[in-house]
Amino acid sequence: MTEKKRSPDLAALQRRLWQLITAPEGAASVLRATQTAGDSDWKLADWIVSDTQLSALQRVEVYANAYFYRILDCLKEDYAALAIAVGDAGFHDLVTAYLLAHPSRHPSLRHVGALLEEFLARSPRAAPFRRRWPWAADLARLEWALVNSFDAPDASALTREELARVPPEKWETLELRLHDSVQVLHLDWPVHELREVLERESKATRLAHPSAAAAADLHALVTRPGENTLTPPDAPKPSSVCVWRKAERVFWRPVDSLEAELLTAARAGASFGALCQRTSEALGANAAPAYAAARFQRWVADALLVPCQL
Amino acid sequence: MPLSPPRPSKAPFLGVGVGLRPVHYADILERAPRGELGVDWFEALSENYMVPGGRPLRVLDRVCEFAPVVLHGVSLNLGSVDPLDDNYLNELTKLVTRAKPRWISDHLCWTGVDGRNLHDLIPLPQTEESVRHVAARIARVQDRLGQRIAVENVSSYLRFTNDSMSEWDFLTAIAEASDCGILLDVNNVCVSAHNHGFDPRVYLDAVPAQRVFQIHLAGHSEAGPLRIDTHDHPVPKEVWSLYEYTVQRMGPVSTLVEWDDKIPSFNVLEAEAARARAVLARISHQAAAAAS
Repeated sequence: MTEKKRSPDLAALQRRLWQLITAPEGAASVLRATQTAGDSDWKLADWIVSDTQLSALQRVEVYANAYFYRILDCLKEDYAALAIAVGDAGFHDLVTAYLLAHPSRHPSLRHVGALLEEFLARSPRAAPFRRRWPWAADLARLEWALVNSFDAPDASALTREELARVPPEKWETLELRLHDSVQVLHLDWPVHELREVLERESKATRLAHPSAAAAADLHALVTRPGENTLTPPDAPKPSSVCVWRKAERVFWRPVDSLEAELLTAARAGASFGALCQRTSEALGANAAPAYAAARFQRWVADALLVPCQL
Repeated sequence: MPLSPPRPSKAPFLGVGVGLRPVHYADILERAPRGELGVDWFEALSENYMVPGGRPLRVLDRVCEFAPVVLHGVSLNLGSVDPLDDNYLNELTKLVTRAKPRWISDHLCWTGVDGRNLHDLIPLPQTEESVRHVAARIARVQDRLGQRIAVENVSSYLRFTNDSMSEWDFLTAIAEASDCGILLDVNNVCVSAHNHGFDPRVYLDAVPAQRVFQIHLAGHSEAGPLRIDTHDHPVPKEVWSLYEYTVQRMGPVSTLVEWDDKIPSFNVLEAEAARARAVLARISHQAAAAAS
């Protein structure tokens, strides 16, 4: 049999290379397993050239290393606080397990981390990570919300001038619309405090998707050799956080439970009157107007609202 | 549907450009209105702008107002045995409608299989089977986009035992079978020549000049016996020399300096662009003098 005849067809070749490149335990271990199983089709020298400089395996390993570290670097940018809080070795292990469960299904690296929170929160394979870092899924959710807010669809913000034109009799039925970048998160653990420390210590703007260099700077600023300065929370403390984008920058802030409820209702299309009614039920008729006015003004100032049907 | 865009040989000459990278957005947007940009055009990575909204698209819109833009993708997956990705092509079509790029390019490679992405440019066996497979897919992409695309030669670190032709014959055969353009990455020729032991000038001599839309220049790294296409260094002397050789043979071709890791200040990119422009000018003068 000639070498050419032993070469796999294009489909088989691509599937084998994919398996070798992505194997978490390394390409060599895949080859050993196939040898043990007596699968001679996988004999690397039959289909990848070896020469005096490098073996076929060493050449495959160039791609295997690039695969893992490219995705690791991308996830370190998207999950900057999580990566620091769990430490380099922990994050390495986490990404290895995550990619095994969720190989990248989207052509853009932008989406490679989309399922990390779900993996951490629910996957049986993530049980050891949940035991070590019970707060990690919440932090992943917060940081992924920042990523999603960064490139959410554009819409112009509702202005004070537009609101001033609303006739008094229409306010009751005025339907509010939130900007697509606005997300309200309910967290069991106070992980936003970690993100706060990261941003304060690095003097980072609250801009999601820093460049790789900026992410490395962040990492250097908040870690010292052998030391992890982002101290994870030691007890659950339910809280809510609002994430949004204004003028191309992503922001977030903790919100109280009533404001979280009002924002969620606004997202579902509640009228201004319905929000005031809910506020009144929660705080009483005396305190409600000041609370509602303050929150509403802030929503407008923060560009959380877009023009609505009057 | 027959294609009606101009022949690849008529791809416009845009001068010397650089990759559009977020770290330079502020510099570019501040200096462009003052006419202080030291580059002629930009190449935007398609995937970075295939998003619903936000800063990347707004910056791209602004840049398109003052400079020619070309879209360069890394995920068309032209060499894969997977079906072409309809969603990707839809998103790319939307972006093309928005940015109106001078042309669109991607790579002669595969990037994933069975719907799972490696996010890397993996080489293909250089066989007749691959030529037929890839050329047919490029033709379908061109029909879908209504224009020719340019395909780029990639750097590679492995070869297959069933290769039946050289890389330059492979690239040429695919370009001719699909009637597409070529994005000739001179750094990738330099890297692969070193890694696989061929003469880069033989490669450059064989590329059909009339199909070359664009040239890429970049830096690479050394890793043991291999050169790796890292785009994290200045363009090295050897690549400059190969660039000069290419321009002497082909004439002025739109040229782009890539820098994707350890990205320096925009001034450094402008200095690299100026050096490429000087090469183009020198060779044009030489050609004019020889003609007269």
